[in-house]
Formats: sequence, structure tokens, C-alpha cells
Amino acid sequence: MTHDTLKEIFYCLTGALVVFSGLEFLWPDLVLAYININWVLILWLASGIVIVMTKPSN
Amino acid sequence: MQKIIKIRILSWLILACVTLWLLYMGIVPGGHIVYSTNLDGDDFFIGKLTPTERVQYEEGAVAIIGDPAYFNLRTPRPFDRAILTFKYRHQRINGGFDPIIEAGVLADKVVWRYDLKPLENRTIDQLLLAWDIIREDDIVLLQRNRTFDSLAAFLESTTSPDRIAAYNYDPQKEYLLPDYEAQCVEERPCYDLPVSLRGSYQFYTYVKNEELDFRFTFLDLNENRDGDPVDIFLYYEDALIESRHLDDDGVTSDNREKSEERELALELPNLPEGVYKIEVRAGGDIITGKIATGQSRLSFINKVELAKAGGKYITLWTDSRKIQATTVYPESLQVIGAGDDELEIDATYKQFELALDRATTSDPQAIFLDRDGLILSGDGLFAFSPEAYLNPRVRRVNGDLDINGKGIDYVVARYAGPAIKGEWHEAQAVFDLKRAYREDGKYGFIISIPGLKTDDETDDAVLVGGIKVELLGVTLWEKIKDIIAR
Repeated sequence: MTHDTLKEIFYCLTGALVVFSGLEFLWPDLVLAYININWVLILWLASGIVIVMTKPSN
Repeated sequence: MQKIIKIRILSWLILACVTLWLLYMGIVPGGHIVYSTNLDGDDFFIGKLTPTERVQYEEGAVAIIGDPAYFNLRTPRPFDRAILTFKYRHQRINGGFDPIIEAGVLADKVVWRYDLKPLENRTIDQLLLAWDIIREDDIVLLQRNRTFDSLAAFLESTTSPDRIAAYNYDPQKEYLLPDYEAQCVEERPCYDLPVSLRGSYQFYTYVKNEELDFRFTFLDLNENRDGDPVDIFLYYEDALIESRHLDDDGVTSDNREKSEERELALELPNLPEGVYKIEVRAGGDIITGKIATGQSRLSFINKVELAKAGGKYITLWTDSRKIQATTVYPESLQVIGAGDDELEIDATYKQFELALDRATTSDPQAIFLDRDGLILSGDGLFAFSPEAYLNPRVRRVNGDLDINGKGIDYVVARYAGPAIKGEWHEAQAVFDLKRAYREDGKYGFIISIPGLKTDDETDDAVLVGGIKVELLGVTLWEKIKDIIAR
């Protein structure tokens, strides 16, 4: 998987976190009934760490 | 198009689809959704069966070992109707017999009233095999010998209520007392209830050529933090005809300071002759110190909670076949007398039960208490004198009813019975959720199995194979039309 692809996934997971948190704030349990946001957060963190670690030198 | 653009579009499209799907599942635009669980793990919508002392979660099976059990149903929005499907089977190891299984939805949190619906009634199931059956819609009329050709003919007949038993159905037989005469003629009210009552209660009374008049005196103990309003409802032929409301005393803290006594009157002239039901709905902090009335007939329905007010040597009359007694006060521990039997209440917060020997009589039986501070309940009515007792109800087909011994010839019930699927039974019950109580997005359900006890030295249980709830409500389009029409 290329660095750019990982960045796209990271941006999308960032959007997912914002959207899910917003939905959950406005309508409690709407998201948590089906999706564990903790896993989204872990995936977001993991993708961020991989992006930093695989950043091209120049 | 560059590959990275395609990935960008795809990933954001997936997020948009997931978001739209979540909104779809929350709004339920079609007004119809089904939640189900086989209870082998945590389900977000259908909660675990509780309490743990009455429900055993073992590998591969969930067993209800005591009555009742509860579960919550979490829904994203309110619905109008629920169709509950309950999959279960009986487990009888040393004896044990569960003649009735009912499910209910919490309708009133103040008095913890559940709207109960039948899942299984063994007595009716056996009669369905032996008696003549007329089924009309969801109502079944069972006759020992075929006398009536239709339900309408039966309902219009003058069959004595003593020969009829009903279940989950009110045959609306007119109940009149031809010999009744108003006792309180010159000065009303002329009767005072000899005890103080705590919390909510319901009773029947009778009116004929007289005013209906009740004067209730209430006192707020302020032991709990919630407000304690009082509501009084008057019903005639199952329809609400009048109500009264008394606001909280203004103290919503738990300062344990008793409020002033406050009076609430319910006085109505020119009522038609017949039985009236009065429901007093109040929290546990409310004491009814006095009920002054002109009515000579007063029968409390299923339960009386005698407040601790220092009352001694109280006698009640009941037609219950079994009575249960509980107290929370050590000073109220006592031995209750009932005919030749005695029931020793020797522990607080524990329910004691006594079967009354009522095989030979339908007259009410006296129960003798040394002192008040007790919660008495049973499957019948309670009166504070034999003259005050009246019973307008037809007998209910419960596990204790002796059909042959009581000379019952007709049973009318709204009952379908469970379907047998292999070793499992599957029973359905339909609930009106518009009248159900919903808090924090949850409806409360009960599974009631009277007679199933944890401490009866038998290993009987009801094994639960699954719970499915089909919910029906307004559609998104109906909601939009409703908003536009306002």
C-alpha cells in the first residue's frame, strides 16, 4: 500500500470519527448500536503512525 | 482519472453510505424493524434477562428459575406496536409445573404496572383439547357442552357469572346487586376506612340511587427525592369517566419531614347504578391517612399496602386462593391467621405465601393481622368488613382455578397459545407501545411465570431459546404528512 493511499484512508477515518462523534452527540446510541467507535479510533491512530513512520525522506 | 483520486472518491463514498445506513436504521423510515437475540451474547437492542438471582446464564442456555424476569428493549425512536416472539421450553427435574407464562411491557413506572399478555396457559390448552371450541378472531369461547353457537349469543345471554371464567378478556357481563340499598342516607360520608394505606391502590365500589362521594386525606412522607403528585381515576365499565389531581406538596427533597394533611374529594351525583372502579395512583411516599365515604361497598383489587400507623388487630376479608405478605418493618413481624392456617412473617423484605383452603366456598375468608405495616397481595379482592365486600369480576383462568370444582361451564379468552417447534415452544404477544412507558430510549419488559420459585427445592425452570421483537410505527412519510397538516 502506498504512502498516498494510506493518507487517503487516514483522512477518511478522520472524517468518520468526526461524523460518528457528531451523530452520537446529536442522537445518542445511533452509531454505538452498530459501530464501536473505539475501533475506528484505533484504526485512525494506527494509520497515522504508519504514515509518519513511512514518510519519504525528501 | 488518477488512481489516488479513485481511492479518495471510494473511501468517502463508503463513509457516506455507512452514515446514510446508520441514519436509515435510526429513523426506520418504513416504520418496521425487527430485533432478535438468542441470548448467547450481549445484544445492544434486547438487553440481558435479569435479575441474576432468578436468571441463570450457562453455556448454551439461559434459564429463568424464578418469577419474574425482566429485560429492556432499546429502540432508536418510539413505536406504536410490538410483536414479541418468545422461544422457550419447560425444564422439570423434580416436579415443578408452570401453568401460566405471560409477557408484559411496563405501562406505568409509578406503580410498576405491566400490560401483561399471555404466552402460554396450560389450563386453557387442556380445555382446548376436551371442550367445544368457538373461535372468533383472537377470542376463543370454550363450552363444557355446546350451548351457544356464537360468541355474541354467549355474551348476550344471562348466564350466571359463577359459571364463567375468563382470561385476558372481559366479557362485560352487567353486575347488579338487586338487594343493594344505600346505607348512608341522612349524613354523608358515614364510613371511614379503619387503616392507612401507602402508595397506589385500586378498589371497586357500588352506586345505586346515591351520590358517589369519597374524601381522601393524603400525607407526603418525603422519604424519596422525586415529586409525589396524586392522581385519582374513576372508571365505569372500563372507561375513564372522571379524574382528580393533587400536586406534590412542594418538597422534592428527601428531608423526611411529613407534609400537612391534604384532602382531595371525588363527588359525583346522578351516576347510573353499577360497579365503579377507583384507582389512586401515587408514589411510595404518599400515605392515604383517611378515606371517608358514603359508599358501603369497597373491595380492594389484588393488593393493599397497610402503612405503619400503629394500627392493631386488623381484619380483612378476601376471596384470594393464595395470599402473599411482605413487610419492611421489624416491628410488623407477626403471625397472620386465616381460618385454621397461620402464616408466620419472621423476616423483613421477604415475601411469605399462604394457600387458603377455599375449595368449598366462594364467600370471602377472614384474615387476622396483629398490626399494620404489611403489604398484602393475592389473586382476589380485599375488604375491611364482610358487608363491604363485592366481587364484580368473573373468575380468571389462572393456575389455581379448579374448573370442575368451581362448576365452570364456559371459558372465554383472548388467547392463541404457543406453537410447538420440536422441543421448543414459540409464543407471540402483541403490545400497544403507545401506552407503554419509555425512558432513555428503552421499553421495559417482564416475563411472568407465577409459581416458579427459586427457593421451592425443585429444579424447575423455563429455558429461553430466543427473543424476537417486531416493531411497527409511523413511517417517515406519515410523519412528514402529519407535520405538514399541523
